[in-house]
Amino acid sequence: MKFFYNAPILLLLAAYLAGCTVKPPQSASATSPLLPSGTKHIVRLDIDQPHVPLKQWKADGSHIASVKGKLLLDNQPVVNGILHITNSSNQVVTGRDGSFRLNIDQSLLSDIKVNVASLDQATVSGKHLTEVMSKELQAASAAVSVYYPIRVIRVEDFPADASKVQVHGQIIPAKGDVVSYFQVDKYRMGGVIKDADGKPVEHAVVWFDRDLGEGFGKSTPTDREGRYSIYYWPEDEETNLSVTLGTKRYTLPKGKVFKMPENTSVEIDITLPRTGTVLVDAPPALVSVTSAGAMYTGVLVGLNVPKDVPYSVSIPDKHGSFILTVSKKVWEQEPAFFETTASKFVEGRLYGGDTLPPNYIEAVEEDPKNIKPFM
Amino acid sequence: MKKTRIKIGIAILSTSLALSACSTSTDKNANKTEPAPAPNPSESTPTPAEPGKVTGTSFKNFGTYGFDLKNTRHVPYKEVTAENVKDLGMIWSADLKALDKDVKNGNQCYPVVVDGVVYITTAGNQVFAFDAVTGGPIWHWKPSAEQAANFSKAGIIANRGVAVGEGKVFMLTVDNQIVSLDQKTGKLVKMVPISDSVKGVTLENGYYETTAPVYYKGNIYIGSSGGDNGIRGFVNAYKASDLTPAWDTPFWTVPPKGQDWLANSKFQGGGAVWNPPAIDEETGIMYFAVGNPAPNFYGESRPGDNPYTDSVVAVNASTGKLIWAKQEISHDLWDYDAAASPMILNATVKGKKQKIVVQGGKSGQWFAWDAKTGKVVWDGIPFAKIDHPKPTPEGVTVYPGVLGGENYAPETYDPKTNYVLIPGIEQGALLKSAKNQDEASTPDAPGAAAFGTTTLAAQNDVAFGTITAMDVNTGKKAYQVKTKDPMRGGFTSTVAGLAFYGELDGKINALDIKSGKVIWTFQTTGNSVQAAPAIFTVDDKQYITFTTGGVTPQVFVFGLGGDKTQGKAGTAEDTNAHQKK
Repeated sequence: MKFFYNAPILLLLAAYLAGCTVKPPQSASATSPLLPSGTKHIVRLDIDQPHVPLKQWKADGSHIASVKGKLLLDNQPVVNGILHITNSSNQVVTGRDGSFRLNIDQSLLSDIKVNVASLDQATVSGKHLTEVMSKELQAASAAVSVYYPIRVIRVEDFPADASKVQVHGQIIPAKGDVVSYFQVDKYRMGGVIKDADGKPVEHAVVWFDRDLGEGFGKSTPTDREGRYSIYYWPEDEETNLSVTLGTKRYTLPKGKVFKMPENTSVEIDITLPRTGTVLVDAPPALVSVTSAGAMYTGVLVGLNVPKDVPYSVSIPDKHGSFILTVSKKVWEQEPAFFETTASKFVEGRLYGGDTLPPNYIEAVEEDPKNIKPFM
Repeated sequence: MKKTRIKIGIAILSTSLALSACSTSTDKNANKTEPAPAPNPSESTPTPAEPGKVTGTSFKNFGTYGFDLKNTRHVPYKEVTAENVKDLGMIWSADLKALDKDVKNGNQCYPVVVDGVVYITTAGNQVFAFDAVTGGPIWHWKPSAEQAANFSKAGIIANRGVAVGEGKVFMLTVDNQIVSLDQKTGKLVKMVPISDSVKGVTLENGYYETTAPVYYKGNIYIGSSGGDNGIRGFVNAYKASDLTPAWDTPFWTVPPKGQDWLANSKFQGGGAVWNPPAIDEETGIMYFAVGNPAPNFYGESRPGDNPYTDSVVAVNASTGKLIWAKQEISHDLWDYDAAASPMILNATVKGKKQKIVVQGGKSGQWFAWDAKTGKVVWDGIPFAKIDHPKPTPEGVTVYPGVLGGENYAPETYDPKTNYVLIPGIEQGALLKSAKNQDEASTPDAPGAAAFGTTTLAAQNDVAFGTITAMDVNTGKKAYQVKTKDPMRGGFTSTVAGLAFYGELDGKINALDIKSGKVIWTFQTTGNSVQAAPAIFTVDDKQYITFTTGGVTPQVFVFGLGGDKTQGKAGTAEDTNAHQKK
């Protein structure tokens, strides 16, 4: 797992770059480049507020924060540098003082990276950059993270294993804010699609829709075992059930609808007909049973450590409190936390405070993952 | 800390139980799925034009969804007048299924015409480019059969048209992809999933796209469909050059689940943006209309006004930053989206010239705000029957029903009379609310993005339509004309004082805007008109083009001296919830 460091970034370049070809600056004589090669350039890509506490969505738009930063080379502003922001092609151009601004949605967990994209029009002290300078600047990056601050309340020895500690932590939302922690979000309609010979069918898609209302459900394509899933919100309802395979669409007999059971996941196994596109609506061609489990979605915390470092953590309860169990040795290295909005199918039932299996969740690229807790 | 694993018992539901409840389907989708009668290509397929060459040398365009970026839909072409409108006839038509058998039934496309080429889309996301004068097909693009099969069952498979800019034609697909095509050849330049830039925007999550994009200053602007499916609505901007995002963050129309007015809700918030924005090129401000909150008819879990649902929102078009937002219906319980595109007018208001933004809602009320400040100018002037008690579990009949009011059909503005013409629908609905949040979703499902309830047509209620001329100066109705069927397509007006519009029985009409009299009507061979015309000129001759839907989707071009042979009346096809916005 990668570690990401926040601004300011200092790149101290060694003398090995001194041998590189130096492009003469257009406005200076060929023999006197902007800065003598062989010296160490100091590149700074600074973000004024690299850590932004998550602030809830507001109708007045105040959750969109404007974050300032600066791009400097040897303490001089880089003017007209073009920066790239993760997930956006909007060009952010540095101003006369090397400063720039970007808009951050403070209501969503995020880790937004800033890189130098182009220096074609850039100048420092009114002069164009040498290739060496450009290379050094383009190696710079910074990040802005939006997350709930984490507090460590206490750390105690783990009773069952003296090599481990239990860390009692808490997610701290802003006053009055409600956090949607990991909890049941949807049920699963799943099952197996087979052909008339009983062999699993790959790449089929199952659909539910209703004549009244616009709602619909679409499955993942069936895998090699013929398995599909729809994460759906079943009601006591009559739905049109169909299966698409390539350009073919299989439907229930005319006038028939599938009566969806309520408040439960369900397995619906379907055998496609040998000929035609009308599904046989009786066993064994169509078998429907309720099944356990649900899709859980919500905020979880984890430890930003390599994958092979074991630890376990509980689902934050309604107060945001969680317990982390990890080896003393790892904890003493002061690892950072990450926060993520996770979605997982869970066979049983889980509640706030329940411990998740070891290394159950991983941060994805856009998650904030360099969260240093406060005590 | 506790470790809990409660097993859900696995109950075997015999298929006899699961399917014994099978009942007769309402079959309301029949017109969407039954094969069309075999068309005769020789009757409907014009001679192909040579690619890259079009008829004519001088062109006046209808280059974007609303004619101009302000969406005024008012063209300066005056060849067709009240005196000669009777001489309008069909110059050409094309049966789209004859051109491609995979074209889906129904059509809600608003044509765009650029330099003698008519660009239209079909239900199921095919794109056609025709020579505007001869009807010769120039190019045709269709998604792969696998892709089309993949989205053929999504809630609404209608498409409202294209944007044209930078030598490309842009369209959004049902399965949430942005498509750019070469304007000359129709070859695919790029197809990019919106989910690459806005996480989770997939059919599997209930998102889909019906709206036409709009091109402005290097960007295309898109909304999102699926509000009734429990999505979180948004607007976003993309670079036309490479389809990468142009804003730092999308503009979300409702909070994330679990925040603000969704703090204690088990549901996502809805807030689809069904139709294209209006953009003021002088100020760079963009205005868009936002749909209803979810769940539609149950509001206990979403306290307060539910911003920005049922609202018109003004943002900076280059950054997406909020400028102002005004709500039409607070805490909506009746599915009263602000669905149609807003329109920017330089109008006379209370005796003075003022730049305003106007929008008619599904609520049956018409609004106007100062374009710069959002200050209210006209506040919810009724143009339809309004009687909507709070929905109960037993059911209440409400007016307007879930189709509006004013649905997706756009208004037009005639500066000469200072009238806005509003396309209205008069049709009630019987609404039943959920008894509680758990019924609206499922117990223990705090995040379910359910739609919760069903709608039924009001009993003994005959739907019809209206054309309301709203005097922008006084905020009073100048007149209201009753139409046989609900007004679903909207208007396009001309400087000659005519407004053209289609009807659900396949007629195309011209209204004298000042008098409110229908002065020309023509029964096309199309089943149903569900979008407004585009009006343009080639070599100074004026043409009117529009699409028709039903089981034989077609595109027509009319002009003076065209063929006056009329068709048989089509059947209004409008009751299906899948066609509703």
